[in-house]
Amino acid sequence: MHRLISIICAALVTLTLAACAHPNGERRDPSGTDSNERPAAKARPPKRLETMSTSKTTQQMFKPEGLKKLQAALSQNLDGKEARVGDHNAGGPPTDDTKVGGNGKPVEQTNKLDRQTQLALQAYQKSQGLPETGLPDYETLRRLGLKPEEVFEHELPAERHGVK
Amino acid sequence: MPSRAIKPYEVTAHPGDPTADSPRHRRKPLVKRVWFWLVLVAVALVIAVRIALNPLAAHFTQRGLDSITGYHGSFGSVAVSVVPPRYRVTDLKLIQDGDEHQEPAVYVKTLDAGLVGRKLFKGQLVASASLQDAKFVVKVGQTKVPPEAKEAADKAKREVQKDNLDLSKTLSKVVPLRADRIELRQGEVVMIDATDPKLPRLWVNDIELVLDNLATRRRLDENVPLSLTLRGVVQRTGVLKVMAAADVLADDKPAFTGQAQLSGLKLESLYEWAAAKAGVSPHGTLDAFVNFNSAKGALSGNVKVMVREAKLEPATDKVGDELKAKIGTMALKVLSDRVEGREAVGATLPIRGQLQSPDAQVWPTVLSVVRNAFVDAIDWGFRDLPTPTAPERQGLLKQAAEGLDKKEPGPKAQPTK
Repeated sequence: MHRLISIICAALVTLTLAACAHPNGERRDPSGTDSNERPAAKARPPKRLETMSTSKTTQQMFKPEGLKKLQAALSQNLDGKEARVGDHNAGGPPTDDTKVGGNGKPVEQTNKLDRQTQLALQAYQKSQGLPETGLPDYETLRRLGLKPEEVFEHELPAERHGVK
Repeated sequence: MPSRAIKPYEVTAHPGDPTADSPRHRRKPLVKRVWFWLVLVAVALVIAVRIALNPLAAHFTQRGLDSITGYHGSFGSVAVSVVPPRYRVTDLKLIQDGDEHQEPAVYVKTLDAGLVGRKLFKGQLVASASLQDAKFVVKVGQTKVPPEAKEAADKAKREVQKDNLDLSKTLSKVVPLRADRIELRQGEVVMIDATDPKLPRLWVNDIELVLDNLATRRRLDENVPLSLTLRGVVQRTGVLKVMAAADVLADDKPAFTGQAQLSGLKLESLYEWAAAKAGVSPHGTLDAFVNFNSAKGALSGNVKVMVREAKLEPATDKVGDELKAKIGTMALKVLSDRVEGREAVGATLPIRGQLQSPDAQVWPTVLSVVRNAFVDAIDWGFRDLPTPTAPERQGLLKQAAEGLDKKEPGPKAQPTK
């Protein structure tokens, strides 16, 4: 019974808000601004979806300077090599956008597990015959001349900060 | 001249050798001979063991496969080496007893396992394994499970419950060991809906999985947590990526942190499932983002789903299916955002609670759908996650007022206490 009431309430809220829509199908923005003014980043879906967007808690799995060290090691190890990887979702051959590391284009030290770092990792894993996940595993780090404990925290974010 | 008694061994001595009479010299040929035989026996033993090793390994592999309850197994060949200590089996198959199609539940083209030699000298057991071209078939809702398999599954469940999910306690019962690395290359997982006569299948191909640093004792871990990374392709269209870390030896309950992302899954590829379950044919692209965090038994997680350019069509000419498709498409139109070129329906589902009893919260989910449609579009990626948690439990009206306020970050998950 309680669930039924909940569903009815949800439907009512949805219908009330639907009624606020403009007659021509355009939604009314509660802030009074035109919906076309939304930030450009939201206006387009990402061009390539192969790389993983990282959450705040995943970022906290790494040591403060850990990813910088990884990016520096990748630049060093990919230097002068053709580092191209395909993008499953993009389809077709690799483009300039998926060229990383080599040809005097170092991996920028952003200290984030961003797109360029994941592509560089995938290119390096491919060159070493390692599983191509595009994500840092311990063997990939060792072959890059890093100890896993230089990049990863021993304690997990949930253990350090608790679960909220 | 007094005659001198000649001892038998002196006969063999060279007459011109000045040391021929010394007892040390006299023992030499005997020692040499003993060494010669010892080496010969050792070499013969090594050859015999080497010849017998592979058949022995094959025998024990088959015995091991026969001991798995509810399944029968076979393999192509087994090879073992002592230096370095390695074991390799090819064409490994496990078939569930009574399976009418005799389709392997597990097939591994090559399984390589071994011990790290230099760690053995330090008295540590450190192992690694690699599975190449492995295929796993999971039948969901299977009714014809052999009673022995059901019993074994129930027993395993009872064992886990006995330790109250305390993995450190469970692991302390096994040999001190560290699995340095477990790799899966070119793996495949197929999920079959056994409840439907058409047996619709969901495929995850090209799986590349790495599991690092699984230790059964704290002193054996390498000052880093257990790590899991995975990349796979779902239904040949969506890319699945997972990254997680865990502390399975944490006191009380295991701790873990991680995320999963499925991007670009074409809904058309789910036709078999959707037609079987709902009688509709979906169109559009699905992206899903999951993050999870757990320590000391408390769990917090979020699931965000976005469907772009969604449309439903009836799977058959039946009136019921056509009606379902029309209502569904209408609902999608109402609930999708108005971001040009996207038209996405988005929702975030917060999950809070204890590891054994997680609670998926309905109202913050409903409000997030409404917010995406009317207030502020949900971003692609993990930018809106984790969903903020309200400091104290809120009533529905307060949740709605805050959740639909553009100035607020979005609907808040409700604390469990």
